[in-house]
Amino acid sequence: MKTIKIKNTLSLFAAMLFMMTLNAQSLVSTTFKDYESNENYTRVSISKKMFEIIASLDPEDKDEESLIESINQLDGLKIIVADSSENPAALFADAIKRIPNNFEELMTVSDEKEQIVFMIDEKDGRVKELIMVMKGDDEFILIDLFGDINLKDIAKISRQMNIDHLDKLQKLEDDKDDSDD
Amino acid sequence: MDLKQVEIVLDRYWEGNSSLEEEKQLQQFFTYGEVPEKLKIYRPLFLPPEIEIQPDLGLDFDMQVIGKIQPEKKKKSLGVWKIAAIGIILVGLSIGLYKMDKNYNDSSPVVVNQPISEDTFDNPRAALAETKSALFLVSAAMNKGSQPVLNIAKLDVTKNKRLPNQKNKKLNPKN
Repeated sequence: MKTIKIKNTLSLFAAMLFMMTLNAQSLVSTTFKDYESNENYTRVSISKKMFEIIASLDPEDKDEESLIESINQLDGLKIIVADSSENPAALFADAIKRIPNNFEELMTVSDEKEQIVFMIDEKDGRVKELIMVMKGDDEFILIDLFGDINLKDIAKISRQMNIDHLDKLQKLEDDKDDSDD
Repeated sequence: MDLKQVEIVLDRYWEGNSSLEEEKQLQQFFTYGEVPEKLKIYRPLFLPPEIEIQPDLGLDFDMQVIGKIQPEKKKKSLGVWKIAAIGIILVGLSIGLYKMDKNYNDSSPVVVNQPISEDTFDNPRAALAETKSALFLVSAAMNKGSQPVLNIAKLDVTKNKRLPNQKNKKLNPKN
């Protein structure tokens, strides 16, 4: 009895260690390591720790509350943005080429101006990582979400904020050149 | 040989007058006979050296011994697991420390080529805002139905990006 118990705790330990080593793994920190260390790009990284802190914030409204809830399921977020001084099209092609096989294409959105590809790493019906690669006329954006991702929740976000943001459009345009914090 | 006889023969033995025959009898008595309490102390004298009569220790004693043996066994196996656990913890810690050290070395001395290893933001509100706009962009792109929303979302993600990141902004105010 006792030894079984100890065995269980031990395997738990082992599992925890295993998770610890896997914890911070994301495509950006592995496959796109050079992007992440390139000063010419704008890089954003938000860790699970920060998401946990965010989860303790008081939400401003109901939308934010549900957003924080889905954020809390994430292990991290990484964003890489390159502007027109780089070659967005080349970066885009390179990024698509580099995404490993375990990612499958979720969807592609394209029009005359831009092209967006979504790739997901899915296992047992759970999305563990979502990569969005976007190519515009003068920018390249790569967003890497990892953790426990609920695609439905994410799809909901823009519907919720849709109207809000249309109202803000004018304001945004006005102060987008202002320094901000 | 009854008790009286034994005592007589024993006396002769002490005086050194006993015959070999009598000594054999004594030996037999002390080995197999019912030895009264007061004579028990002489018993070892008459036992052949290789034969030692084990006293019957009784069931209680046996149980006690078994009881003592079993916890001992458990303790022993616990020890093995303890050692294994300590080993695993040590290995884990060293891996963790090694990784941390590596991260630290990777990120601290080199200012150019600095990878963002942990957090861009110190402020959870700012991090939330950034996450919000990123998720919004992803979401809007997914629901690509309304192009204007997508554009606003894109603006949200890119508008703050004059400088590589917030931390650098604070470190290099001249920028």
